[in-house]
Amino acid sequence: MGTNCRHVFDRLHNFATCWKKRSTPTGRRIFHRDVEKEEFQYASTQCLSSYYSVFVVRLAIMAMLAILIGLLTFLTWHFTKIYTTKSLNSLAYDLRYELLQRPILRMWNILNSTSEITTAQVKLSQYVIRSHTNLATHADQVEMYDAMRAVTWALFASKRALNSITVKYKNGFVQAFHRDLKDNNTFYIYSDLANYSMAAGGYNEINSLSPHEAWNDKDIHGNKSAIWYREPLDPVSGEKTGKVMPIAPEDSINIAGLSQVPDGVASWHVAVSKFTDSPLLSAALPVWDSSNKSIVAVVGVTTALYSVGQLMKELVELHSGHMYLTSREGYLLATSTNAPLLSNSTKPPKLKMAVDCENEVIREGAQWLQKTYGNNSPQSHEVHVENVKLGHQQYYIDSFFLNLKRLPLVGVIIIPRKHIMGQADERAFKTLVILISASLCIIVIGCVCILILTNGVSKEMKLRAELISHLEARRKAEASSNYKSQFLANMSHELRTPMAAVIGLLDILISDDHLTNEQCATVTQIRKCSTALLRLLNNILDLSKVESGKLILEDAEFDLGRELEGLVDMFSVQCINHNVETVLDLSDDMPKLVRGDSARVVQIFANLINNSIKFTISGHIILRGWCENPNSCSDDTNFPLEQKKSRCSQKTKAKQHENNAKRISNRDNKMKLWFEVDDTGCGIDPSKWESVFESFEQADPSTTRLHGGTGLGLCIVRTLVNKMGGEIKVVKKEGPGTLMRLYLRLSAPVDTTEQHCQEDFANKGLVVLLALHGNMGRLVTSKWLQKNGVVTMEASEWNGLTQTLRVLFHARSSAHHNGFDGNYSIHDNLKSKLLSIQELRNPVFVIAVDIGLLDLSTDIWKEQLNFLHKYFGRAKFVWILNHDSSNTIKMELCKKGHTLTVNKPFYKTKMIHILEAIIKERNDELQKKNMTTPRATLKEGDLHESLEIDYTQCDVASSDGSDISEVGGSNPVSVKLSQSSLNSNDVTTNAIPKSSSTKQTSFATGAQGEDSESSEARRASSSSRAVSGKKSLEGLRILLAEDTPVIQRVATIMLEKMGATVVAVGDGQQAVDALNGMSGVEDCRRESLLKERNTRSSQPEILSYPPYDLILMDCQMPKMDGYEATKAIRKSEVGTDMHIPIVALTAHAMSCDEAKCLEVGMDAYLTKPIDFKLMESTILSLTRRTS
Amino acid sequence: MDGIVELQRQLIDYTASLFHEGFLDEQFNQLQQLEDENNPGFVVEVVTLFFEDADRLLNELTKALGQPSVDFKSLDAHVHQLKGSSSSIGAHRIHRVCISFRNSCEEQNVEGCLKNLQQVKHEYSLVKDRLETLFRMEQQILNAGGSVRR
Repeated sequence: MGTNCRHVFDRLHNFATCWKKRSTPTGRRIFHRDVEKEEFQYASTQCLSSYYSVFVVRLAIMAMLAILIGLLTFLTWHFTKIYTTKSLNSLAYDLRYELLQRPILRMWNILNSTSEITTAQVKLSQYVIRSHTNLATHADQVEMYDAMRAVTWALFASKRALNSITVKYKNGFVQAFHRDLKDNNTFYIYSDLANYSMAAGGYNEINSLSPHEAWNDKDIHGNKSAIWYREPLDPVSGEKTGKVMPIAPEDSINIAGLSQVPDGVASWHVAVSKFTDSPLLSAALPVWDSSNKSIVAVVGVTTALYSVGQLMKELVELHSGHMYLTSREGYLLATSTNAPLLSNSTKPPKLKMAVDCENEVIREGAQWLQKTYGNNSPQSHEVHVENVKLGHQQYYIDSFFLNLKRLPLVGVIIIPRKHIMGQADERAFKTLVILISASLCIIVIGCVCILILTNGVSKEMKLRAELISHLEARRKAEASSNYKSQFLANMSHELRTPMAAVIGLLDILISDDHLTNEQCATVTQIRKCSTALLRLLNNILDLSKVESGKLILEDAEFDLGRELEGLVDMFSVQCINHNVETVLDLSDDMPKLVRGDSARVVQIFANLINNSIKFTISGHIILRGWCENPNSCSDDTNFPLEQKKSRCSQKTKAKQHENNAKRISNRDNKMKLWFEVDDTGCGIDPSKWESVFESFEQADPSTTRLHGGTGLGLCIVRTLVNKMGGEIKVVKKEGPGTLMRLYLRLSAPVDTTEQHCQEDFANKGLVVLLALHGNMGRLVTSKWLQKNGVVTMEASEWNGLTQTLRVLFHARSSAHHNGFDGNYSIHDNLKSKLLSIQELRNPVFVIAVDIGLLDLSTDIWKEQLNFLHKYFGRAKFVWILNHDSSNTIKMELCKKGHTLTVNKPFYKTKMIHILEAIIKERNDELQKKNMTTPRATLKEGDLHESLEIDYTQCDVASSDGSDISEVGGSNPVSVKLSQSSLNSNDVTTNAIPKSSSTKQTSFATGAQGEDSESSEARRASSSSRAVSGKKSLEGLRILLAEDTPVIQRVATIMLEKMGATVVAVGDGQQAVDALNGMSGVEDCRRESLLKERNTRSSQPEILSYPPYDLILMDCQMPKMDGYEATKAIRKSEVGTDMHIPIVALTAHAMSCDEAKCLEVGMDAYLTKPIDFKLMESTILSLTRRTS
Repeated sequence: MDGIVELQRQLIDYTASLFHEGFLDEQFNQLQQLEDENNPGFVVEVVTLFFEDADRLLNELTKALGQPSVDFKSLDAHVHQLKGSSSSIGAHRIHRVCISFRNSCEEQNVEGCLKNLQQVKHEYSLVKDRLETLFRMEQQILNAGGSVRR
């Protein structure tokens, strides 16, 4: 028990320590998430052991419970049993003692009464004999015997328990009363008196001093020869009832003779008579004569012990069990059974030993006693033994010793245990059973309870273990994700460097004079692809940035429409190869300029369109955009686009302006710009509509094989859209394909909302015939035109075009003749249009022809061109070229004077420019008509050029809207340039006369989003490019703070090559010093710079001023590092409106450094080794922005 | 004339081998591109500057590492400078060793620093040797009346 306890205690102790250990990290985990990782490791190893400890604890608790309940049970049982048994035992002992005491008392009584009777008989005999001392005659003798008989009878009758009283006289005469207890007969036995004649002699003998021998001899002889008579008596009265019968001497009873009182004192012994089956107690006492010298007679009294046996029986009947009395030697005197006490086998009958008793119990009890104690029984013979197994029962054995003088007795009582303890034992057993079963029940229930209770704990443990493992897994995942991000960031950085080289080299190639157009186009294409690749790398970098929450959105003005157009331009190239039409459909209420991160916005759409292109094999991709007016009451979210458009179209222009005005008043409110990217691709399963925006998730895993891609695009898109306060989702659409709808919250800049005042085309007499191949593009354009009050007609293929042309012009000509020709079956719709055309005064026909409508595979296109040329005078032709349209066609067009060409895709802005150009030209024409100047074909070219210039000029205006004066100023210059280059036959070359200002624009936008420059890059004039590329930084003054002489030298030469003036200093302190004192001339510098730029002339005298346009700042420098220097410079700028762009130069290539640079107030960031192109573009973008 | 052509070919081969063996990278090309009639001998000038700078820095480094208690911060700054200038002239191998040198500095590993210093010195002497050879060859060509094609 002790070891067990200790074992349990050890377990508990272990558990407690376990628990403590475990609970410690739990507590800490909440508060110190930093140390979490270490703790996890620890906790996870603890996990298993704690699991076991729960098990052990459970076992321990169960064991404890079992032990406790077992103990309780045992104690309960024990105490109940012990006390019951004890009390019962004491009671039983008393009972047994009492029981045994009674027969012994009876015995005692019997003995007593026997001795009393004997004594009384003796006394009476003495009295009678002494009163008859003179027995002279025989008659006297008879008288004396009669007297004796009467006295004896009286005594005999008074004690009914007596068996017999005998008186034997000296002369051998015998008088005896005998009571046969069996048949309740009483007899008087006497010897024949005639034989005893020598009575006198007897007296003599009696008087003699030594009578013994004579007595004895005579007695023996006399007795043998004597004749005894037996006389039955009435047991009550003593009257003679029967005939006297002679019997053999001592036949029926034992007569106590002289031999039994040898020393003259009373003697006791247990005798056995032939006639009774019970032992007899006999006492003998001599009767002395008056002189007390001789014995005259011997009185003997016998008492049957039968009554003791009777009493025992009665007692035993009452209490069950067995009793017996034995003499000291072991002879049975009385038993409680009916078993015979005398052995019949021997003659004369003898007393039986107790061990030979016929009753089994008594025999076994006696045998057990004898075996246990042997002959040397304990002192006083008192034995009290419990639980003695006799036979198959247990008994109590008690013996008592009764030390009577000359007759010691031993009483034994054997009581079956069952009798006394039966109930108690049974109860005890039952109690034990009940207790055990009850405790078993309790243990079972307790165990179940413990199981249930600890189950909660173990569940918690399990959960905790799971949690720990999850946290572990999460930590690992995060770590791996971190590694991934790190890796991606590093990789993309590494990859970007060669990409930058590729792009730079392509730029050089583009600026090469000797490239043919085709080569130029190809190179431009390569450049575009490279930019796309670079963008992909940026995507990856973005994602890692976004994931680490480091993405910061720029907040700058940009022309949303132009960015999107550029995007569509770029993608259309890809789409045409795919036979997919790209359509841009922006509603008129879209603000032209918005504030936001243009690069990110473009990225969003680039990703979306890219995605669409990937999955669209044929059909169209439409990028729709409209503005949700914050003033309009209804939410447009669920409006179908058509409905929306129709609603829009109902609006009058005035109302739009009104709305615009309202919008300006609410300019602080961010506008909700809705966009849709609608394609006719394979579509996305509705169940994946949510998950496609997850990282690395693709709608169909097989698409990776088919289309490639990383599954990052949409994830970035969603992150960016959310970052801009918008939402994106996939919307159900009719027909095949996917419809992505998103909105962005962008704020419109304060003063430029009304910048784009497009001309009102209504009532200008414009008739537009759209002969476009793509259905959607045509539809969208014509809808827009109609909305703006321009009569529009459509044709989708060559035949339709010719028919419409014929109808149009023949009908027109016939209209002059008051009626239509019936030759042409005209559609009703067309009819109504024709009617409306007829109403127009002096209509201007604009025919937009898709080059794809011509049959380019054969030479038929020339004839078709000739056919169209017939209408040349009557209508303005706008040719929509493919990017891969061959030069022969372009030259042919040019030859014929078709100089109005635009590249695909054809969208609103291009249309506007065309129409504006046409209107302007018409106005010129009208003026010229007024001046009566003949029209020349050169004018056509002039018109065309002005159109293109308008377009580029618009770009400039849009990207730097505040600088209107510059736009106006540069306009004539551009025109002049274009006219001078008109002689060249190359249309594309003609198309873009690039001034250095536009070049700068392209760089500026290039820095923001490189794709947006593609439209310009494509049309980049090689010669102007070459010039501007070399001296792009002409006139800029740059302060270079760099301590390493090598880098200083290299950077200086680089910058000087670009035309900049460089002042190099060795550390940050010098840089700050160099800047000091220049603030006063700042304004002057700005003016002069502006002037210089406008006049495009280098004026060195202006540059003698110390101001700097830009600072290139190395980050790690002695004395004062770049960060400190920047802080100092920015501090000195506080209060003034100056902001010198500072570009960081650092060898650290990580984004955190970039963040640090930007944090201290630097504007941009260049990594070493310095990339020529990157530096150029960065510097340009910064100087451009500030000027 | 054949001699010049031969020399030019040798020069090209030698330059190519330098690139191939990783002594130089594109930055050197950029450097060469920067050289024009306005600043003749630019490459030589810059490289000489680099040599001076590197000599000074290597001395500093040796001295710093010879101290009983090494000031890793200044060590790191020196290595950084060396890294910057070496990357600017396109001495690729020195640049690489500098990166590992800086790692050693961050770990404050004197053993590693010493090892890296030896390596840098070794690489530096190699590059110096190579570049001097290169310039000698160029000079030969120029002296012979040929032009160094860039």
